[in-house]
Amino acid sequence: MKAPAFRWVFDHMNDTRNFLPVYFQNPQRFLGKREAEICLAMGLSMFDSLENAEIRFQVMFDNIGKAAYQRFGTKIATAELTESDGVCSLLDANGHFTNYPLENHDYETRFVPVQQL
Amino acid sequence: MKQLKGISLSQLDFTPEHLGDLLYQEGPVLAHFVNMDNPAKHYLYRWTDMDDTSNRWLVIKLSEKQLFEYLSRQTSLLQLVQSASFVYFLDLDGDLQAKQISLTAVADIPVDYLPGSNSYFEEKQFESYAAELRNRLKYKIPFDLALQKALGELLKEYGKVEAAV
Repeated sequence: MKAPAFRWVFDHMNDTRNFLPVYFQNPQRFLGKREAEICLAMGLSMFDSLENAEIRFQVMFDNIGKAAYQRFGTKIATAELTESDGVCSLLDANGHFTNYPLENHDYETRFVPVQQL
Repeated sequence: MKQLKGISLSQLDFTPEHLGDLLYQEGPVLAHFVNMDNPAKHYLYRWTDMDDTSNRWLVIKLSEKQLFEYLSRQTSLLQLVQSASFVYFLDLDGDLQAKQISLTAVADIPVDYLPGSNSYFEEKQFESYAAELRNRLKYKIPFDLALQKALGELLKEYGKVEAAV
C-alpha cells in the first residue's frame, strides 16, 4: 500500500533539519519532559495533501510571520510512503500525521520539492 | 537574531508555570503560562526567532478577560500585543536556560517580530488545550465578576452598619 506524504523542507534537500526529528536534533532539550512529548518529538510532521500542508503553513505564518520560513522550511516536498517507511500516526482533522521513520531512511533522495511556500 | 531595544532584566518578575500549548508544530509555537504565585496572571509565550544556540520568545501578559477574548476570536494575537504597553523577550538556550531577558516597549518591537493581522485563534488548527482553556474561562470569568460584585456590596453594607454604630 502506498500513500502520498507532504512535508515542509528547507531550500536544499540535504539540509539535516529536513528529515531529522526534533528530538534527535537536541535530546538534551527533552530532559525531564513528559514521555508523550518526547515520543511526539521523535517523529516527522507530514500532511496527506499539498493543500493541507499549505493551510497549516499559513496558520504558522499568520502567527509567527516570516520566521516560519526559518523554523519550518521554504518548500513543500512529497514522496509516496509505504508500509516499510516506519510507523505513522492516524490522520487528524487537518490532514496531519506523524511519521516515525526507520533509522536508515532515504527520504532525502525520495522526497521531491513540488511547491515554494 | 535582531538587536532588541529595551531594558535588560536579570530575571523575570513572575514565576512561570507552563500549563499547556495552544499551537504546536514539532515543538511549541504558542504556549500558555501563569504566574505560579498568582495564577490569575496569564502569559502567552510566542516563538519569535532563533539562532544556532537560542530560541527567542515574545512574552505577553494578559488578564483572564483578554485571554478569553483571544480564544473567542474577538481579538487577534497582533491586537493583544499592540494593546500591551510592553512585552518581554526571552532568549532560551538548548537547555531552556535564559540567556537574555528584555523588557521592550510595544512601539520598539521589530516589525518582523509582530504576529500577522490574521493571527486569530483557529480552533481546528490549535491544540485541544486551547478550546478547553476557553471553556474554563467562559464559566470562571462571570463567576469571578459576580463574586467581586457580591463582595463589594457586602463591604458597602458593612460600612453602613459601622457608620450607624
